Amino acid sequence: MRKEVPFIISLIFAAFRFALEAFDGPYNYTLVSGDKLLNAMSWAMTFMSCGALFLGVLNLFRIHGNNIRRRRPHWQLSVYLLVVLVFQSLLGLFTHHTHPAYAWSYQGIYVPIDSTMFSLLAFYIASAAYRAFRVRNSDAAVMLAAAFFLMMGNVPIGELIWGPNGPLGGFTGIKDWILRVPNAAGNRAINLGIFLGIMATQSRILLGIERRHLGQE
Amino acid sequence: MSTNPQTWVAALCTLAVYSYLYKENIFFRIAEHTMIALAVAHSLVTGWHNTFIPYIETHVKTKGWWWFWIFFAFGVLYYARFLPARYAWITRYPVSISVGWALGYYFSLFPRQYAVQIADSVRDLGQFENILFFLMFVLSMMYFFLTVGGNSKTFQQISKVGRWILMINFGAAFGNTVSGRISLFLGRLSFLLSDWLGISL
Repeated sequence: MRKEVPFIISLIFAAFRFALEAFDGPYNYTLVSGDKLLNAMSWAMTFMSCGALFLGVLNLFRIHGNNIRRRRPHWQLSVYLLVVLVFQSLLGLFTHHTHPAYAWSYQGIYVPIDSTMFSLLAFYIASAAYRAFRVRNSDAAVMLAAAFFLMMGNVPIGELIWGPNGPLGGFTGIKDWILRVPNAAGNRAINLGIFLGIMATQSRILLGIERRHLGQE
Repeated sequence: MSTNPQTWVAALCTLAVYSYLYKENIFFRIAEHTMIALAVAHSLVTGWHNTFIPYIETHVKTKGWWWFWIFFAFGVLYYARFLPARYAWITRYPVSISVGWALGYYFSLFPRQYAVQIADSVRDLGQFENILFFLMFVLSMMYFFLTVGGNSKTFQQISKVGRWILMINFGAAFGNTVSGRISLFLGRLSFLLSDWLGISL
């Protein structure tokens, strides 16, 4: 009951979607409103996810509520987080995300923190580059060469040293060739591996061998 | 120097995050907690105003698709994971619907994009670059053959070339990531110097 029924529901929805996707062309399933049944079902799935809109908020309340209740280290920051969360959520829900007050905090606080967090990685990636690019064997040498040409092709100083009018199109020409041929070929091989992995996992779910998405018993 | 309070707040937030480069400190922690709170609030607010409300107006009220509420009710069952273990299994119902719906896609449309990629790999072999691309693709694929002919010396040599091609791929990805991160850093630096401090660059 607890695992079999959800598994059967999965099979029914899988078969339903397969039928809609595969036979939509010849049979053209449409509703009275003129909308395609496939589109209506996709919208219904999106609407289902709306039922769980507050999941993230509740999860944060659970985690940080525990921090506060047990007086864990830095529990004051958990109080601060919940206050900001409640304030911003209520402001957005009762006005709109385009409301000036909401947009002010989003543009003035969230956007700069977000982009600075990502730019912070520039400093750590430099040390990672040192470790990755130490030429220890032929593989590391090839990787170093590819990364060097890519970076030089991306920056203006690369154009100054070896411009696009030079032999082989300069750094830009070599960068474009690397992206177009070996990079695309390698990427495609990796993508096909990913595809086979996904299909193997989906087949396991379809056959009922893989049921971890249904959680522990 | 800027007189706009929003620019000042943005600059202080930027500095708070960069203070992590010295060591972890209270300013960074405040910025970190603010970001999490604002990100979760924003996903809730945009989901509410861009999806939930318009869907009610367009599909439920205008078209009269009241059956949408059945799916919504299944979505609400996601919250059952917060209930005691005795009831938490109820959350499997919306999960199984989502997984089933995705399964249908994976067995119908999903393989098409990869079939197109394979077909594209062997197209127009009259051009040298296309032949080179195809060879590199095959060599890269051979690196992943872990069962057939894995012990033969010739096979190992060929798969080594495949590994070099994959290394070019990883090098290119790394180079692009470094360039992207540095460009983000320059953007923040330009904001601090130009927008906040008013230094013309």
